[in-house]
Amino acid sequence: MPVRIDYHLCKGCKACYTECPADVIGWDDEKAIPYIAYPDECWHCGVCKLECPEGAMIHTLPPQCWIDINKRFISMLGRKGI
Amino acid sequence: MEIIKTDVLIIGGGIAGCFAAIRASEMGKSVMLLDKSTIRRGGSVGPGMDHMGMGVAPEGLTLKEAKEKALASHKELMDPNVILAVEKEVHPRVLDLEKFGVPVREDDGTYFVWRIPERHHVAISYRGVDTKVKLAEAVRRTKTNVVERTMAVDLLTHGDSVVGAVAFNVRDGKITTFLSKATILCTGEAGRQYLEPDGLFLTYHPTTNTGDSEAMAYRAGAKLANMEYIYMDYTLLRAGGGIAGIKPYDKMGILVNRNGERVLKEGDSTRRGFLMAKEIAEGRGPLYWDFRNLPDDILKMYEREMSHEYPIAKEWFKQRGLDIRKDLIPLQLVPTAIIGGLLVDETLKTSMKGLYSAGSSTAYLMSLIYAAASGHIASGSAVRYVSESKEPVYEEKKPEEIEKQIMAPLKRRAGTNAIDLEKAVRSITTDYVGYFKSEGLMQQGLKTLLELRKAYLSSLTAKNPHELMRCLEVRNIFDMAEMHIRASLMRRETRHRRVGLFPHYRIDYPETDPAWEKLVVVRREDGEMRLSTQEIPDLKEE
Repeated sequence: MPVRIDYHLCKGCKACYTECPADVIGWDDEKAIPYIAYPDECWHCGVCKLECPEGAMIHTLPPQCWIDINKRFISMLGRKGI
Repeated sequence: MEIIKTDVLIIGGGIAGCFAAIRASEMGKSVMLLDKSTIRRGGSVGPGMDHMGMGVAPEGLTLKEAKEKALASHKELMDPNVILAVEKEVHPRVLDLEKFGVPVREDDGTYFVWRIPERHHVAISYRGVDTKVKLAEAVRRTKTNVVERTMAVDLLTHGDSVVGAVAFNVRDGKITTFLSKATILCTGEAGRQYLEPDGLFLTYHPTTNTGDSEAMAYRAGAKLANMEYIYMDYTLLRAGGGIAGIKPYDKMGILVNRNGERVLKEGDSTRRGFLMAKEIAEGRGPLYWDFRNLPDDILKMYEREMSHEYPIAKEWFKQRGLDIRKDLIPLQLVPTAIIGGLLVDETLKTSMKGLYSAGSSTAYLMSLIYAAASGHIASGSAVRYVSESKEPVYEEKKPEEIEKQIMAPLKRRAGTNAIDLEKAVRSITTDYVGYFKSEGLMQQGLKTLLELRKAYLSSLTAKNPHELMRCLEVRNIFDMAEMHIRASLMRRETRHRRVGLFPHYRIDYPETDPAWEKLVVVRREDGEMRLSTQEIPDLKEE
């Protein structure tokens, strides 16, 4: 689940848009508010949350992060493994 | 196209780039500092950090220990002269960070340290969530020209000299040519090379780090080394190495497998990366850290560290209902990056004139304080070179040629989506190279990679500058993947580096071969990727 913005709290200071390292957050000039432009590209570094003075950035643990079995690692074993 | 002249061009505004900019500015040179995101929160330390090495200092390593560390680095395929030169510059950079307002010390004025004698390492645990903010403020106090949201795309060369770079703004698409007397590359390690377990962009290290320096330098003809190595780190619910990483064995908690058996024994901690992988490979995963029996003062430090190295981690633990005091904490192995990079000497000079590199873009270095120290050294070397060099000469048509090439995806109405193509490349590295490498699969992977590039790279399409950035990144990811596979094929032995977190495991050559205590060097010559081996220098007598 990508990062979300609580528009009840957002005051449009642009901090999240200015600092998002991955350029995931866009800026709507007409409404003067930020929006999540590239939700699938958020890596949840938490910079927007650190920078937002209003506490308006909401991060939810993506469901795929609940899986601990290292499935992808197991697929990196190749044919024989060790 | 705008052309900007500068003495020193620094590409990448992380820890290394910021330290390099501060020094070159203070030495009176004009400096342009480029970053794909921002210098305040960009780079691996942007979202926070909790520990840094101390280097040679009264409370840290002795000079003798630093020399031992450098000597030991030879078999880990690092140039001991580089390690020693950097190690000596570490503590002055710790003091610089303190001067910039980073709270490296405790309130009583002392350092809180973790001593790990078997790794010749003394790490300071500190409250570093705003490390990058303070460092960026220090950069802003100098005369450095900071150019943000700007991705360097290709280097400009004249013979075997680097004379600048062409870069583009990822938000407004503006292209600029920077002409420089010296250039320092420091865009970090090359992430987004393998499929990470949580998802394409749910990476452990920043998604911005796509090996831009390494790929540009390769295309310009510089030498790179250690490209066969990946950085396979372990994370605890997306939280990084801090909590269980930089610790002495007795403060690490207990690592257990799914049967509740202890995985790491005393003395194993120096090859723990490999032992974790082996445990999972042999079907005894998942692995869990058990911190529950650690003393309260240690647990308090763990909790403090979680609040400073990417504090979002604390939120994840809460959301998932995990508490390090009550629960077993699951561990994931994450193929974080290709860890090789530019071949440098102890002055951080690369194989090309006027080109320097620092931090994780080099073939040897990683960590906050190594980035700081190497950025500082690279900058001093670059400034010395600037003082002796003439105005940069370049082919005047070249920037327009590069512009035409990089802007092409914006002009195509239909074509290949960059992220789809990236996923295909990362599937090749994951499935054909992987952790346990073998000749046949890698040969097949290389063939597939080259066919894929031929079929799709020239048909990429982008609707805006942001998507164009993804197109330019995937070009770099292709070059990195090709170097990685070819170098992995060449090194016919198994050798683990950095406590087994940098593995190179060949199932067809499972032993470490002393004859292979040398570097695999990659270089582009006459448009072809060429590989060779090179001896690692011995530690010079002083």
